[in-house]
Amino acid sequence: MTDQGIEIYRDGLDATLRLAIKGDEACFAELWRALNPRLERFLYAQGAMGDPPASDVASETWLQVVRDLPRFKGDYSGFRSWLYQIARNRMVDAARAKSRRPIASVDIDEMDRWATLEDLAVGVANRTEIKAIIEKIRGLPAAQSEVLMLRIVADLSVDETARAMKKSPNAIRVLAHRALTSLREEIGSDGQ
Amino acid sequence: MKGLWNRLRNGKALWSAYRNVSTLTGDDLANETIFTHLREFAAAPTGPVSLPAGLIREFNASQKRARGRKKFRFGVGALFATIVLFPSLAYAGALPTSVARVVQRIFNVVSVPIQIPSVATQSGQSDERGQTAPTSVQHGSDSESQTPGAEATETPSQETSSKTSETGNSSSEPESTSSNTLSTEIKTQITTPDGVSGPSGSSDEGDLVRGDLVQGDLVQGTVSGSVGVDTSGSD
Repeated sequence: MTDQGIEIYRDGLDATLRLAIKGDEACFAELWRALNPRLERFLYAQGAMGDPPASDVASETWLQVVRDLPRFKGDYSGFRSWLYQIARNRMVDAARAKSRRPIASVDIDEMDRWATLEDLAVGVANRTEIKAIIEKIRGLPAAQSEVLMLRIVADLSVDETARAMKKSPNAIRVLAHRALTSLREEIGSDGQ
Repeated sequence: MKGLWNRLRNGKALWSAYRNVSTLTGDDLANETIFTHLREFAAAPTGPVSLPAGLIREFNASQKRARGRKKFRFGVGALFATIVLFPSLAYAGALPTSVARVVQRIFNVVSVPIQIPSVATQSGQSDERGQTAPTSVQHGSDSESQTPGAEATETPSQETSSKTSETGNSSSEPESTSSNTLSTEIKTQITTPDGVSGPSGSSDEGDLVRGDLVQGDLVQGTVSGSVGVDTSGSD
């Protein structure tokens, strides 16, 4: 999609969002279809696997969105930041609940069950590389890992990421820069 | 010397960090080949999925709650405006008379009756508790000087004249039937508490009243002037 096409698409989603806030069910469904796949993948990649699974955390996130949607003020970009902010909070809640009633931890191989979801058109060969890079990113400090996931998997801009993480855009840039430097070093050392 | 060196080194590190931040555009991630597969994973197309039924239900319930909240806020605002805001403005004279009259009517329905000064002055009506409006009090002792605008209020003032004569406020009565009624009441008033009718002996005003009542044609002018004195004497 060209830049102009993306612009038109986002303008359309702005209008869709306005109608959804007013109570249009079809428009809300369209928003959900546009945003939910990336949200679930972000939650998977960020580590919300196992109990509760990422889809449950995503459902909790959307329920919270639905409850507060009539009071939301902002455009589509702000809505995406808000959505991921709620997702982060729900993820923290899920992690706390999990720590109160510990279960067997689930490792990265849990991603194999994505194939059963039949919603990914990713080649099997690439899947191994995806697992490897996600493992490396998850090995970074939490803030750096989160910035990378939000920027790459959730496809948020610097400003949107800053709003979602309640930090300044410069702080996000610095975190991304440090994360990238660390990843390069790690991959370089692995290659040697 | 060592401290100075450390300061310089820290300053250099700070300057380096500042240069790094200022040169970061946020696009360094976009061109990074490390994340190619991760981007492919994130943007992979999904099959047709439909919104879960539970989410639809919650969405509709949330919209219903939002409408309820909106109605509740509107109701509270309207109630506040009816009970507090508009009566206050009307009482302060900040509203036009026609609006103030409507406000008074509504307020009399939803709460205790109030008398808005601007409305009372305009209409010259006395309120339901029998208080005489300011304009009618001024013209009460002289039937000739009634304003033309007060014609519509003649009937209520005649009705209340018998009551006001007891309290010292009187209005003029041009008709003989009314004067007969008045004279009867005045006779009752000048009757002494022990039941003996007639002058008290020491009151010149009492004599004047009795004499005027006998003549009949002088009732109107004299009664209105002397009733007050007699009433104060009986008190």
